[in-house]
Amino acid sequence: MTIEAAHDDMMVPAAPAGEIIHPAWVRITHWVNAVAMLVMIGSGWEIYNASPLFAFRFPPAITLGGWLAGALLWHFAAMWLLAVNGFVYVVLGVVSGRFRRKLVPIRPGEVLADTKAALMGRLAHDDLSAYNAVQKLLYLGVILAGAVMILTGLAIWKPVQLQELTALFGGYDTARYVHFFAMAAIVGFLAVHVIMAFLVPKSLRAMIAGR
Amino acid sequence: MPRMRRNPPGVDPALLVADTAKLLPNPARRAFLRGGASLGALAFLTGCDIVDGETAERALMKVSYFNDRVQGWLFRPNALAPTYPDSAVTRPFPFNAYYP
Repeated sequence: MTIEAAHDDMMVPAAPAGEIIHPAWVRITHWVNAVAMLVMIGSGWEIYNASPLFAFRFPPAITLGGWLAGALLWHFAAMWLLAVNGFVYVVLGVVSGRFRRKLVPIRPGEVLADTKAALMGRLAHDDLSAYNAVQKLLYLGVILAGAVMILTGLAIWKPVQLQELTALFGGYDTARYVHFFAMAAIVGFLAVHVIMAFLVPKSLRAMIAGR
Repeated sequence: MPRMRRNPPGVDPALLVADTAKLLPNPARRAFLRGGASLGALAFLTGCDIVDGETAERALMKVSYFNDRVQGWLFRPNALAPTYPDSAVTRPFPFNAYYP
């Protein structure tokens, strides 16, 4: 094989050495959010244990705060981190156009096709910079669940001062259930999200190093 | 005397470099692993326990005092608490800090 022939095979220029997939603001807000969310979930479970909605309690080994008052301190401290960080993320996501570019449009047909492919283990993750339909749905869904979480959280934190908000969620007791189910949805997302990060390790690397 | 390096005829140096780069391991992966190793070393160096210590307690109390100010600011002196009919009262009444 002559050098020219070999060259013809490789006329396609090599990809530039690693384009930035996640800009720094996405990576920073992602990991700050991860810490804030783990504190919120751990302390939230301890708060739940003080007055369970269902016939189970969370094992103390996986809760944070030790008892109700301790858990409330953690919960009401991490909420500021979560809210400020979430606000920065949403504003930058909208202003930079990242949400528009990455998360929409979500077409039901594509969601069905990609879900089927994912369940049969045939959904490729070759291009980290473009999300498939299932990813778009899950990422948009968890952002909305986060918004519900904050609103119901405010509703049960200040049910007198913010009584209109509490009424919007069907009163204090119902708002507690909504807060719980939004938590369950987020924890479910988290489980899938972490499993996928281990199945596709380069996606974890991209969220840390950016490329 | 240094030997002159000449490109082989018919080879574009720019393309040659690009093609060679394809054969090399992903530089992002290497940088990531190196960064991870130094971060791990740093975590061991700090050696402090923040979850249960007094540091955490003091920080949490500071936030709690800040929250008191926020609650004072949220307070509407003229807004009445909603009232409920007697039938809506849970019995036995779950008083604050009373958990059977």
